[in-house]
Amino acid sequence: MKGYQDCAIRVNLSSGSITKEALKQKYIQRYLGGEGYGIALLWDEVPHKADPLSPQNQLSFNTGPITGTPTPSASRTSVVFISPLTKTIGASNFGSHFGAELKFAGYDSIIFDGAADHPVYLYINDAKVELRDATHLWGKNTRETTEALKVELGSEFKIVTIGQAGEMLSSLACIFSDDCFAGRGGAGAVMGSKKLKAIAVKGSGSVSIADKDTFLTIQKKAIREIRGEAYTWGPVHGYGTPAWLDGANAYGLMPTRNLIENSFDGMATLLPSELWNNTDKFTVRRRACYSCQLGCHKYVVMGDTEVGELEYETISALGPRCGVSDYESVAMAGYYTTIYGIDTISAGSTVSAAMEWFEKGIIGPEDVDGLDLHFGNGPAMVELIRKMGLREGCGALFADGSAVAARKIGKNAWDFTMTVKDMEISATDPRGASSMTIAFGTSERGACHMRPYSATIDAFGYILKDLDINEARNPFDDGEAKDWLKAVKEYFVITNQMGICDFDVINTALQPTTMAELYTSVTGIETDKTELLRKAERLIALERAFNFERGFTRNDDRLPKRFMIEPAPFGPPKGRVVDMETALDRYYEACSYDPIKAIPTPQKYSELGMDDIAAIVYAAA
Amino acid sequence: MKPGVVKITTNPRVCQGCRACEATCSVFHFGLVNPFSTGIKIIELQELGKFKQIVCQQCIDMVCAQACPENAIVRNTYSGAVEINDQCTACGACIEACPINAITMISIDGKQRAFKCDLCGGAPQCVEVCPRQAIGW
Repeated sequence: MKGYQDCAIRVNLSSGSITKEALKQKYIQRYLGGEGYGIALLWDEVPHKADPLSPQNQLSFNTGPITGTPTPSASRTSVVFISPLTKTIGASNFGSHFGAELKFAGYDSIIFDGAADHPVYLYINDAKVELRDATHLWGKNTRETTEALKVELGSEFKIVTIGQAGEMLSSLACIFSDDCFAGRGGAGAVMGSKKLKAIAVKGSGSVSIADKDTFLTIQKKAIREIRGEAYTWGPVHGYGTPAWLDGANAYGLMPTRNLIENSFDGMATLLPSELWNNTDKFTVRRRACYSCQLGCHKYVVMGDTEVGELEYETISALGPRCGVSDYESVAMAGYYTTIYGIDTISAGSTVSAAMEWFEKGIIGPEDVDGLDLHFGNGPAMVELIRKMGLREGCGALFADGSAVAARKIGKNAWDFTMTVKDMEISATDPRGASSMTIAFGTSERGACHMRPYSATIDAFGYILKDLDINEARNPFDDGEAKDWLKAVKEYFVITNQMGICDFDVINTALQPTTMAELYTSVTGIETDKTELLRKAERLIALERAFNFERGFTRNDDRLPKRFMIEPAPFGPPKGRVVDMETALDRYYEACSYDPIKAIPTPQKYSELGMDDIAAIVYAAA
Repeated sequence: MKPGVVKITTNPRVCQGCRACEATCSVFHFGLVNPFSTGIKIIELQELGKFKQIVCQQCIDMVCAQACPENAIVRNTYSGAVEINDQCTACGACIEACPINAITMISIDGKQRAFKCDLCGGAPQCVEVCPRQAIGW
């Protein structure tokens, strides 16, 4: 079995024991690897109703079989845990060079059980794996920790770490790795609850490849597909993800002022040209993840402030969503989210919810330390983000996200909370694309734009012949059959299992057939497109089963009321409201889900070869 | 081929540090991905987002070949590349001699030898996969 290293590190933080174990073949046959491996472990080893911040929760870092090979964007590591934000499964992945280095050190996964009684970090140098004291790192921000560890161990080490937000168990806390983040779902808080400050890894081993000549041929084919897709190889290759800002705004997909509106009038000053052309204010350097063709990752320096990465989602959440149009405020808020380690999407959205509560009189200046939280007040937004990162003053109220804050505030605050399963909706207005209504609603980890980002297909009119999507879809028809969306979701989820980046597939550049060929040439395991996507379908079925065990059903797959009652004010979706029930029905039909329980029917589980899972969930029901 | 004319040219200003070149070099020559078994090396400098590219410049005077006690380093007259052949005994003299650190000691099947860029026999793979044209030939 090439590609895989067939070894996982298991660390019991309570006892301090470190063991190495072979990968479980059953998991690989069923779920391939990466996120699939982590979720399978979670299902088998963790009590299904475990408290996310208790030592019972498990935190695993899982690379895929493709991670570390020179396949385009083969850099991803999936972090799997039970989410303290959503209480569902947590699966969040990041790029950087960490995953590849972990593979070079000889491991596919690192699994953490239990919790330490004092701050520790995990040191991995090839076969040498040790838990080391991290008391001297506790309290340091993400950049300082990375810097300190690089000085201590050597600059070749690749580091993942949490900032102060993770230490203080903020549900928005993320995991940082060289300005890449496992952002959503509060992975940083789980790491903080285990008193695990960082992981440092250095490797000098090899990732084996089954068929070198075929691999090099398919690698070139994959590169051609990426370079041949006009948008991927044009604006995204040039500007990174902020290239999408303009289009999303024009198509009425840009969440503006806490999603009251769907297009932002102040977008001109937030466009990527503002960043790249304004050379006396900003220095922008590229800093790509491992083996990436796109290189969307940048390193922005503003004066003396090393801002780091500014993504589409960051700019959208901190800019239009809060009504802020000055780039400096967005960059400064982005800087605070980076160093304290909080998810920019949820942080920006929480501020925007607070702004709407403030404007509607639900909270007053006394609740927010006297800040003037009107929409568009950039400096106030920056200050609130800083306080949230450190849980300082009123920051503590908002540091666990808008859903928790709304419950604490009471009154009618909930009506203006834009969350699904308590996770804030990311930067696409679901009124602008019917498929995104379902994507946000049914995402297994809360409102997530990557499960899948299907607006490319229906709102922007891309076709994907390899998945039988041969014509443009109607983005405003909630009643159409959603079989295509099921296929696109599997197409996105499989990237998390293989260890490649969603941006290979977001503009339908990398074809499913090529992905199957890549998998076969690296691992030597025969597969095709259908079988590959089936592995994603199995993973989704398992995730839904886990969520169902934790009490999640159709009721939790709905969007906030706003989208059902307030028509979109601008752009192509003008006047549209979401027909949530019809949309869910069509999607559940396409996936063969029980319409109430929102999990696959027993027949579907059986067809997927998952009778053991069905026996558990249906016995519980 | 005129010596020293065909070589991997570098443009560190546009390098994004993805290391696709390193990994592809390793796969092409050894059928596996190893961060050290590669003829091209990308190093991130102290200033984040700035990179240094280290790759053999196929020098005209061939100081590595002069230093080799086994005469294992010769120029390939077809590709113009300076190549290390199987007579290498892994003494490390070429590594000492190289002014730009472009030769590394690698270990294949337990046997050590020196390794450097051989231009892949004439069509460098790293150049083909570089997404920023940070290397050329």
